[in-house]
Amino acid sequence: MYRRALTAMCLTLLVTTISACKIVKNPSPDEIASSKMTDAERMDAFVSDNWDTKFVPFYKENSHPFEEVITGLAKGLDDAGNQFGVRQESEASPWHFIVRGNGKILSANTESRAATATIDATGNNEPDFLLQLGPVIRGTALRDAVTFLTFSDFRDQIEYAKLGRSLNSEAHDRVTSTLPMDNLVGADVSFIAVFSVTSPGSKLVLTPVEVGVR
Amino acid sequence: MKFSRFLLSVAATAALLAAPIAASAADLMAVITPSHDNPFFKSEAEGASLRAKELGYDVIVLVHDDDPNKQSELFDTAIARGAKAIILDNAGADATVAAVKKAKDAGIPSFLIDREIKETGIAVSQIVSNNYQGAQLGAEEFVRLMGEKGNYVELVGREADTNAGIRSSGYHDIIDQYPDMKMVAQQSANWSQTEAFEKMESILQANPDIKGVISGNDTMAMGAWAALKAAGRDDIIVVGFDGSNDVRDSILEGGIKATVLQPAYRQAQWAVEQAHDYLTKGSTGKDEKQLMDCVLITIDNAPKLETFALK
Repeated sequence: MYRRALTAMCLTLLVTTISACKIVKNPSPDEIASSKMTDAERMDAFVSDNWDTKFVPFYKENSHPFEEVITGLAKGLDDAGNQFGVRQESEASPWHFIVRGNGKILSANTESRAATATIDATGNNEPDFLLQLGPVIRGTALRDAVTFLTFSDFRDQIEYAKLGRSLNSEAHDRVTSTLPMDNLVGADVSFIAVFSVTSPGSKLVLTPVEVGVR
Repeated sequence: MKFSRFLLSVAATAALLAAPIAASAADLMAVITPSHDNPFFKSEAEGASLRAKELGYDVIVLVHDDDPNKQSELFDTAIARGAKAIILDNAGADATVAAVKKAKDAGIPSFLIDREIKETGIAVSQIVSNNYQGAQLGAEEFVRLMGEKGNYVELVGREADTNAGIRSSGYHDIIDQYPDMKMVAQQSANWSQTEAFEKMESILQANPDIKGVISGNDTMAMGAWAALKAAGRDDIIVVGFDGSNDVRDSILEGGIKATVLQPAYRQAQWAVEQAHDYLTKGSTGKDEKQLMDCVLITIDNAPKLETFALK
């Protein structure tokens, strides 16, 4: 009787300890997969916890000067990809490039909810790329350019898609939502951004990681 | 009933087993897909069979009609006939796990195309069509064509099919970020052209002020477009999904505005190549789960589209 009570008490203690352990900072995808949140909530939490500590440092460390990358791209997509890019392990996947640089904002389309600005980053007064400003940010470049997470780490394409969406929202909330949308044209801009290229010569659309406007 | 079918399949299996052993020593690959009534699945089956034959395999092509019980019987057939590998577009993310496991226990590796299953470590490869990404592409183009505002209708596929839900979520993931886009009707037309025609007729009567229709696949888009045209409403923007030749032709004639291509043919060939690598070298050299992106088709690249592949 006494022994049984002791066992029960130990078990209770054990259970309490385990459940107390569940409250942790920076959960891994595996840990948060077991919680009761929706895919979108789980991915939002994961991204928001890891944006400053994992994602931004990764993008910074793996960025290349914009001019070097486009010079490389002009010579050939696969060569530039092998030198500067990242590609998920699947046939016909796009190459993803992380770039940094400075430029000038030539024009801005802020009418659309998928707002964009054209940027000259090579000093010839010609637009080199579109920078996505949001609130709707398209594509999955932010997700696909990281090498520390792959599709296999996720339950299915829906959960994986929600990760992409959460990263895009984070980029808007933290990076572009505070920009002076009415005073963009003519401003100098510094950027770290990511883009994907499927076929050579296609128009470059960059998703921001860090943007400074002066 | 079940028993007699079993007997039949035993008899058939015995007859089939006897023939190829005498005829040739080529290894057998089984290709199992949904019904070929949908040209998408036909293209998959053709892509896989041709590539397998090129690599020196005998091929059996089987159709499960999206019925998990039938799929399970087809796996029994493939196992009984001593298939060396199974190429599968499956009949359900949950129900398929048991069938693939059964094959694995019998020493037969499975290579999945198009649709994924909810467990890993059972199939050797899962080459998944990124339906969610494709739906996002289609929705982005749809929103752009709509000028980011207006009333629209969504036609959804058969509810039991995982991809019907995935595509619908992908559409709304984009469209719902635009507060001036208003969905006035959302109905399932079960992937069917005739059903989409009828549904579209009645939806249009109730909502004459619609500006666009986004459809879960191309056959339903074709049905909706026919109904709109018959009602003199060819001003309405229609966007489909799959990249069929029918919709390609409609895009080129200025009818349907866009669709999304899943590279079905190449994907099936690629699964066969991975199966061949696995059988001959012991490994595919790839992760189990591989995501294959879809491509937006508009009037710009429609001329290059032929039988679910971009030339």
